[in-house]
Amino acid sequence: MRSNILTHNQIVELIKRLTIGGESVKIQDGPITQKIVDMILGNNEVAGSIRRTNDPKAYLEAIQSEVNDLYRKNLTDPKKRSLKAAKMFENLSYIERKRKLRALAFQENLDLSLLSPEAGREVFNAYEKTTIIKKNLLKKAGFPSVSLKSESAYKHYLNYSVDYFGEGYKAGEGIHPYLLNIGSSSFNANLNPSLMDDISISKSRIKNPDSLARLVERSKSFFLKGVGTGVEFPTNHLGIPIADIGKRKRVITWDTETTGLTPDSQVRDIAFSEHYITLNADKTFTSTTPKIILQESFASPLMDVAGVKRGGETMPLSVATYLREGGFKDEAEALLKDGDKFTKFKEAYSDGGAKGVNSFKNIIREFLKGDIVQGHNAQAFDIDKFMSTLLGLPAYQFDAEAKELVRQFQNKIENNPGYLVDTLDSARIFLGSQVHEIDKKLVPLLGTRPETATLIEELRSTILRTEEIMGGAKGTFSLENLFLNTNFIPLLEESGHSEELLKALTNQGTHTATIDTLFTAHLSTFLQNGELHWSREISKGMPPSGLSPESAALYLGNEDAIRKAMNETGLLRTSTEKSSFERFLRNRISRSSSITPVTNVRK
Amino acid sequence: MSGNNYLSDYGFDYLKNSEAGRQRVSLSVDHEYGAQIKMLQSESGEALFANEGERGILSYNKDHKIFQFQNTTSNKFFDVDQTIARNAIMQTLDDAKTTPTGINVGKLVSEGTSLEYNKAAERLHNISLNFTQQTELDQAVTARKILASRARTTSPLDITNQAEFEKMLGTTARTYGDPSTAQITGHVRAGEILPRLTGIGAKVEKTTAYSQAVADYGLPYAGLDVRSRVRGVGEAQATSGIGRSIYQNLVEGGDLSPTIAALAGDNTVNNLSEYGIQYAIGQGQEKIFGVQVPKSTGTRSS
Repeated sequence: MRSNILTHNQIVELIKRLTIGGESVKIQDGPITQKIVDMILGNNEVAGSIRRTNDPKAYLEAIQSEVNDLYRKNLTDPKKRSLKAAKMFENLSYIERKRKLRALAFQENLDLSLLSPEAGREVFNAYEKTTIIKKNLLKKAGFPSVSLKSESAYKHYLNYSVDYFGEGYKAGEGIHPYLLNIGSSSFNANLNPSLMDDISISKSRIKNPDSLARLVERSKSFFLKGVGTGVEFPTNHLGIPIADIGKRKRVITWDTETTGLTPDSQVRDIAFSEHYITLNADKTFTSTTPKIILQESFASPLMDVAGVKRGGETMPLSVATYLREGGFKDEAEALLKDGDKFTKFKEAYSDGGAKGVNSFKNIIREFLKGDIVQGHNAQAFDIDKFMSTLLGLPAYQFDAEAKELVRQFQNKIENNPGYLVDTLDSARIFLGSQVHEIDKKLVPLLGTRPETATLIEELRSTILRTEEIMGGAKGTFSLENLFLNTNFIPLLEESGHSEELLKALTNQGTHTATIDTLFTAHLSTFLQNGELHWSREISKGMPPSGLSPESAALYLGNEDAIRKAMNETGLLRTSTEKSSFERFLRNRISRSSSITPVTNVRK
Repeated sequence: MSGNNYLSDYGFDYLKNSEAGRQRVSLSVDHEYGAQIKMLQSESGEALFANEGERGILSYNKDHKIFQFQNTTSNKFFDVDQTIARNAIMQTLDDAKTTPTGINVGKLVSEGTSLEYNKAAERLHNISLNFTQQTELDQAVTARKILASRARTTSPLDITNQAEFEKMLGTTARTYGDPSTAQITGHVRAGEILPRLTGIGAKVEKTTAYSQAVADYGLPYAGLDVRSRVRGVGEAQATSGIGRSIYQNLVEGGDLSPTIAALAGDNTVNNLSEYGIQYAIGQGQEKIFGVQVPKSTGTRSS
């Protein structure tokens, strides 16, 4: 058996010596709710120059003034920039510098690597104090109880269990931005923590308060009946206001694939689908089937670090990928069947990228035509990559029309809270809420002894994450984990997999823009209608891995009762039968990876 | 890479015909395939699947140094028959490469549309070889084949032929260097050397020509993949100034034979890094090489 997920017992052992102000810290014994947020934020508490309250607006203003404004101020000062940022701002005119700063401020997460170590530390300290309020968090909520598998064998990432709609939540007021921040933050602890400084917070998730504010606003329209496992009720995760009943909305779903994850990586593949959705008077939704309306590929030299050798010749990886995903035998066939597209692909980023800029302009025009633009992790990844690729092309600097389109797009995002939707946020909020049903059913059944807490934690981990994915478990709310650990595939099969989807699957798996766009569009619809839920099979007679002998014995001694209780949550998959479509798709999804020169590091 | 779609011939041979290669491959195994290859029980007789809907991954466990089956429903690991595991990997690689027939043909039909697929190819869960590694493997095998094809009795280059000698030493700089300076150090530092290697946007086997030239001249490390060799030369170039000083000191001191001393032109001493030699200065010897040691001017705080 193998697991590098910390068990409940290990976490308890880990924090035994941790004290704050002489008081020991306990592991959280329930999810963080609005009520706990009120305790953490307090009322009229002074933080820096701002008097902090539990008012969401005041909290966001405090982040803006104490964290983001400081970040912007430091970036403006050449002495406080890192070498990377210095290179970025080199030889820019005053106007261009201003534009660059605006683009950086628009990014979903602050990039501390653009600042000198001292300036970065200053911003991060402000973030810990104002955004996370670490001391109060550990005192009032305890130590995070959820441990996730990490890419590094030497670190464990810990997350707080969060109930966005728990005690203290008031319908119509939206989710508190503090909960949204905590729900997406990762924590890490030294192996033997004794001081608050031994608990660190991820530096890459310092969220933009503007996008947080938009999500808070959107959440005011969520339907609460869809929360938890009442899966037959719509959730309205898209946040369509009741005032818009009967209005047909055009939804653009999109995805990009890039040449890698490094800051200089470029967009290499992009796809858009469209569908229409209408909020009916009875608070149900009617959606059309998503259809791909745009797909473009861009040959990037960053891909051609590697090549694919066939028949004595080496083909650049960018070309090999284009041919494979397009179903072309060779370049001659690609030229014959759609020569214009192939030429456009090859020339996109060459000679200053003028042709690439033209493609990006068309893409922005499509964005602007949508009422809702959605993507999975699009806010933190795709938008930033899209912008950094476009703004990094030399031809962009001389294209006034492109700059104007970017400005219009940014304005539309900033002024319309429901325009840009990240389905990862939606999944975290709604599917994350379903998990609390496990505790609600199993705690009364098994009690609160240490071995039962370990067992419940492991059952929760089993429900949430599959090891089936290439390279091991991925993020709980990553697309592939959602596809494999929920009822997504049976729902997709019921909704009738289109000719377009089957055709795309002939040569592509997930991690291609076309497939991920189509799947995200379906996932969003299932979530909107309240149909999507965790659905995990657990082998009979086999306790989850990572259990102590006592917890395993507890499981085996109560297996029938546990399975019955889990069954009542609706999250346990009882049918073991899988259609040929499901078997095919599970294989395809679990073995897919994005194509970059360095993907697939050995397990 | 997860599947065989992008696998080169050398990559395929490595994965199938070497133990190290097979250890990189993992397979998706469901009950149906488990029955086909007679792998339904562990070595100790435990059932690998609690029901026919379950599946799992057959892969090599580096810690235990054996192939194991992980049931992905229960997340349990089982030790399995090693011969069956190896054969299944080799057979799947073979079947994935060819047009499927018989039980290897998979078909999905929906609303008049059908999708035919190779079941064996879909079973290849991960081959744990990324595109850069495969490119390096291809280049190294190509380079070694070139070396092997050359007669072992090839005479070393006549060093009195100065023009040819200079050409030899400029092999890497000429092929991958900055055209204005013939230096490659700057490219290596900027990370710019890598994309050049496969010839962006063109199916030019520049790398093979380079490996051929290195082998023809009898230069060292001719069996390396191109990126590693060029990088090695680039890194050696960074300290070549020290070697140059040593060489010139020896020439001026009359310590070298007239033949060697006659080679002391710029085209020679600038390109000694073709041999991959890096130089280090002994502590306290910096002045001999005209190197200024930076001195701290600030105060140190504890």
